[in-house]
Amino acid sequence: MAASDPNKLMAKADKQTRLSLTRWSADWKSATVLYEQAANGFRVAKDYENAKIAYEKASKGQEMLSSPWDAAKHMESAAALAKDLRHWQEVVDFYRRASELYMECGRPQPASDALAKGARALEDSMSEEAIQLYTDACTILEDDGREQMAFDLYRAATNVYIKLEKYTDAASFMLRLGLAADKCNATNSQCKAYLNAIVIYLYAHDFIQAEKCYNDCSQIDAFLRSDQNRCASKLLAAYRDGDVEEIKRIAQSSVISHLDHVIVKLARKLPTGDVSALKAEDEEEALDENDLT
Amino acid sequence: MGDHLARAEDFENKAEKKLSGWGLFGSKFEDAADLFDKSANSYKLAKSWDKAGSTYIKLANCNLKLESKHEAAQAYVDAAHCYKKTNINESVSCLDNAVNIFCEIGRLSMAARYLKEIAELYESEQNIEQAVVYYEKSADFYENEEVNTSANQCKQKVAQFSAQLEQYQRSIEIYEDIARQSLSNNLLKYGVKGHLLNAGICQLCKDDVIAITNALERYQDLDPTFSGTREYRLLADIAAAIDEEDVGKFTEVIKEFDSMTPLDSWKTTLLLRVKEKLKAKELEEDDLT
Repeated sequence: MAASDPNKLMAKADKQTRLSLTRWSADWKSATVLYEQAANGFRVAKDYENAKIAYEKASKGQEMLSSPWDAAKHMESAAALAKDLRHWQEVVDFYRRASELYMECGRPQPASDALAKGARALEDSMSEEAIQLYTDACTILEDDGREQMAFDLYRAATNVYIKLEKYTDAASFMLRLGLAADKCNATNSQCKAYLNAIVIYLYAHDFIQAEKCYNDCSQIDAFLRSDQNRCASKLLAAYRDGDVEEIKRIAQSSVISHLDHVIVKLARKLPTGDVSALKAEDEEEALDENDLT
Repeated sequence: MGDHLARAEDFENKAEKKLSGWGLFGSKFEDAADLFDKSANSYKLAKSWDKAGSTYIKLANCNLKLESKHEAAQAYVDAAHCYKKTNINESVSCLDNAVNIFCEIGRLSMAARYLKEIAELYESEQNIEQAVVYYEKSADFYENEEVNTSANQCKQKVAQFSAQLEQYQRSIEIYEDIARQSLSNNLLKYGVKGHLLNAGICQLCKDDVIAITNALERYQDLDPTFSGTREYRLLADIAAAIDEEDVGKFTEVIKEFDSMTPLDSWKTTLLLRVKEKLKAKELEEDDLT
């Protein structure tokens, strides 16, 4: 047992990386193996604090041995343990470092995945940071021309924005998903994304922006011929007419039900403000047009 | 068959001889391991499962002497698969050894896989309590390795058996948690109503109408589309039947649902428990009048 005591393994590994009169260069190869064994021993013993430190050192060792892939893997393990320990800032740092290491060995997909894992872990505790991680994860995939792999990340980021009540940002992210979907001909996701954005604007009681968004999206042929377009059109018409019952009926429709659950939740709460005011504004405009004096 | 058996015994004897003789730098263990492997394979061909199992254990010991831990663990797994045919306890013991070695060498996903296999063995033996213990361990390991799909499969088993053991709250928590996770996944979100139905049935078993009503409100909040499903309708109607203490209505509601979506045995068992409680209540009422 003594041989596999993780504390002893750590001490032995540390010794091999320290320079002394008898050791003129660090023996990272032996040390890294020992760090890995120690990390594993600590993890099985559920000593997560020490396991995390050991994985960090093992990652550093793999870096020194020019093996960024293994270094990234160990960084991810350290990050997962930091998450269990609720050391949120470390979670951010470790997953970011893991992502950089994956990029170093030319692997954008795992690099993006690492950031996404970090973001998921931080959604409740550090929402702003989670959004930043999601955004960076999306950017990595976009830069690599893999937009399709980022769809779930766009949705997840939107959900966090909605939780933070940053509705304009949420809608912008949905439009970004629409653009990505357009690039890879994912028509269904594209149309849903546009309808999502319109619902978000309406929930934020920004009818003008919702209408502008609808008009912009209708320039796209795929959306123009879709069920989502018809649903959005009816919804906006109901708003213009100030017809609360019709708004509620549309919010219960199957087209809305097939959107993301967070958006469905918002849709079911429509209308959020006074829609009769919109109708009054509309009538005033109509009068102005016919006013000859 | 006899031919295979003779060959197996021959290989085993040679291996034993190697081990008892002299060898240079552990080469005797290598040679013995090779012979034990051949022997075990021949025993398998002869369908002599117990002998095959014990030979694989000898192979595992040789590999441990050679510090080939991965091979040792794999030999224990092979031994377990042989014993599975004849001796479940031995099989579990071998898998346990394999799990310990996989943990030692950091192959936690392999450890999780064999913990799940142990759980399945206990399940096949109707040892539900032990099955739950091992499914939980497996889920924990899978979660550590972020293999969430497998973790959820194990958790669902835990929930299923916990409900059978009348630990309803534990089941409810698991099903609700899985539903929550599934919502954010476009592929899994259509299974949410199933998980919420399972959680709801466990709520019904707790025999607390207020808790059921609160749960249904919570589920609607969790998944806004749930209130439009037949599953929600079923739970709401059963809750109403319980509130009114109307066994006839209870039976009718379930019959109607079952005619379109047949209920599996687990749901049927739990709903029967609810019905029994309802009948008992009705009898109490009759006694009082």
